[in-house]
Amino acid sequence: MVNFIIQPWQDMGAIGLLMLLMSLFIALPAALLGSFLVVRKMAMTSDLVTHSAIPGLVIAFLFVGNLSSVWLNLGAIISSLLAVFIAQWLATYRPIKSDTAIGTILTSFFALGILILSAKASTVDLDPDCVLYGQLEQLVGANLIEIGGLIVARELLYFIGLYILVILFVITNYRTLLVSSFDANFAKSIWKRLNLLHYGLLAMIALMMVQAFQVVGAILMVSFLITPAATAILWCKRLPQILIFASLYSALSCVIGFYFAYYINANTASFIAVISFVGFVLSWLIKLITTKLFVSQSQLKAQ
Amino acid sequence: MDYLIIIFSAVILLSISSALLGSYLVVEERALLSDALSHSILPGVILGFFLSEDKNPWLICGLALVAGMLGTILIHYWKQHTKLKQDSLLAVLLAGFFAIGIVLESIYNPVGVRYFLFGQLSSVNQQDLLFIAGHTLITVIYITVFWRQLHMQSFNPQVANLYFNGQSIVKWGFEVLLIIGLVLAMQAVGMILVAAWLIIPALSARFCVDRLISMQLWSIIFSLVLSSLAVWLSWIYQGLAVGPLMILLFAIGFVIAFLVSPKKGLIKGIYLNYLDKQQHYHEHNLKLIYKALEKKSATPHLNIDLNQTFSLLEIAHQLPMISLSDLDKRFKSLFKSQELLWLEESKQWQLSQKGQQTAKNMVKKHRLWELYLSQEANYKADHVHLPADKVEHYLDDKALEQLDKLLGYPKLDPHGKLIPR
Repeated sequence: MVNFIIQPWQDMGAIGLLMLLMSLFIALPAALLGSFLVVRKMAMTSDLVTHSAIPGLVIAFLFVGNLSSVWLNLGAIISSLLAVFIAQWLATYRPIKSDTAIGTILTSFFALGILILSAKASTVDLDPDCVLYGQLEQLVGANLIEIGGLIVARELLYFIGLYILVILFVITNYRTLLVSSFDANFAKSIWKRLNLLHYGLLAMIALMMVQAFQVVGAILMVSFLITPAATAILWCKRLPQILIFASLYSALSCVIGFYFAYYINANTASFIAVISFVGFVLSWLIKLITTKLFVSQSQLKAQ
Repeated sequence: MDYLIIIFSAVILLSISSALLGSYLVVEERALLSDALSHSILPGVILGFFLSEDKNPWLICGLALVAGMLGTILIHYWKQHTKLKQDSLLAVLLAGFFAIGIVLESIYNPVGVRYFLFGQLSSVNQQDLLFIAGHTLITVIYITVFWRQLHMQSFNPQVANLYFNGQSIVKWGFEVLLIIGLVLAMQAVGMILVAAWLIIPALSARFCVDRLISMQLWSIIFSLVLSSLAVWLSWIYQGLAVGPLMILLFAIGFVIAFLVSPKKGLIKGIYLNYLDKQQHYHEHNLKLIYKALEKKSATPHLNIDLNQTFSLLEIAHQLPMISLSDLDKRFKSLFKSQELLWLEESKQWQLSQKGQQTAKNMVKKHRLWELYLSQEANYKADHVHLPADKVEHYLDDKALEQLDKLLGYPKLDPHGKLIPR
């Protein structure tokens, strides 16, 4: 049993730990940000943000030629926020509903990104496969820097920094986020700059996208954002509980997913997503069964 | 050459079925459902590829159907049993099933799956084409046969359930055709973009016409023309991928439809708004002239002679709050619309018949509305002017008649001014 737990570390050493930490520090901020999205009923906007970051990223890459540049992040944010803005504006027109607007903008932006990518495929380092599930395994080897005797991947520091930023954002704006999520009209009557908060939330997701895109891929990012939060809602009632549950749940999925992926030799990021999903289904089933038991108990009592 | 014919035929057939199925999705606001479905059938597709030796379409579509139906059923039960809303459930399903599919792919690694994920039109062979043709044919027949049920189902599901028996079977049949359509179209444009093939042409058509049947026909036309154009362009410029190019052309087509549509387009809306503003400007100016003439008149308790001629200065004298240059501009714009006439010999202005009629009507509308507000709605006399200024432009002749009758054909307004007859 002990051997089972230790083997991956013996095999992969520091690289393995790096992989786990990278996925962890993507999952944690994603769980926080995603909780707010789910609670605001904007879950599919996460799909929109993750997919529409691609063209901004690709265009910036064409100019800078370097995968680690800050310009890529800037491109991704501009592109995502533009997409969200256009989708919201389109949705104000009667024949177009919010759903359809999101679907249209998502696919159009993504198509633009992939078109440019495939047209310049020979000269570019970005692999379209990245889009689907990231290449955590390959990425971890690159960009190692040394800090105080420890060898760390540069991206990891970026993710940890981002996580701290997200926590600060949530703490400072907690009240506003809470009220605007559950009673939008009331919030609008009190505060003026709610739009800034709204876009700020989405901007942080977009900020994660460039590096997360290489680690977990655009589509699986939706799982990191939404599934822990959705599972949390099955179990918890209040927002602080939801945030904590989602964070712990996503961390647990990372660890379990990491182990499974090692032993079955599958793609790490996707296995984390699978574990997350399985957990959701199990939670639903458990709730279902216990509710039925509870109901039948009280029915017996009534008789 | 044979190969090119296969590709064009495939794209044309897929355009037809996508447009037909997509129209219903757009109207029922289920656009994102198709996106979630296309991602969630991945495990079925992967298994199908793995189990079949030679890309057997029956096996692939069959297993995709299983995955898709499972997903639909799960969402249905999740919605019933949990507090979560549709959007979160779609996202969970999309990501979850997709992840399962990717895990399967990395374990089994079947050949040819890339074509479904990113679309590779050149992988469509003759066998695929027959399958696609069959699917399109069955879709067209199905929609024709169950036309009334599907139509009613889209707009009013509850009534449809009352009206038709076996409605759920028709619905499930539609879902089956939808999922198979998604699988087949994925070969051309890839899994992520396939939803766009169904949605965007239908959405563009929605902007142009109002009836479902016209919408379906127009979406077929948009879809056919633009997708064929995409295939042709990518044939000429070898570097461009067909799938994304097609979706981009659809998006451009949508933008054009959005701007230019005769009924709901943005440009038309802006133009109509401009016309409205022009009309209000003219009406207001004619009212001003009437009021000025009224002030000048020696007998304000009798109807004013609107045939009289006047000069700019005379009117300006009666309207001190308007500057002379402003008044000049107003006169000029009324002259352009032929509501004001310039008499060369006497160097005076005169209202044309059209101008006289409008001026009289506008003042009548204004004053009747003021009376209505003060009589029927208890407005104070000094509060009625501003609302009347706005409403007068929106009362048509029929409303005017009714208002007159309601108030008993009154003579004076709340300020004691004469109501012209």
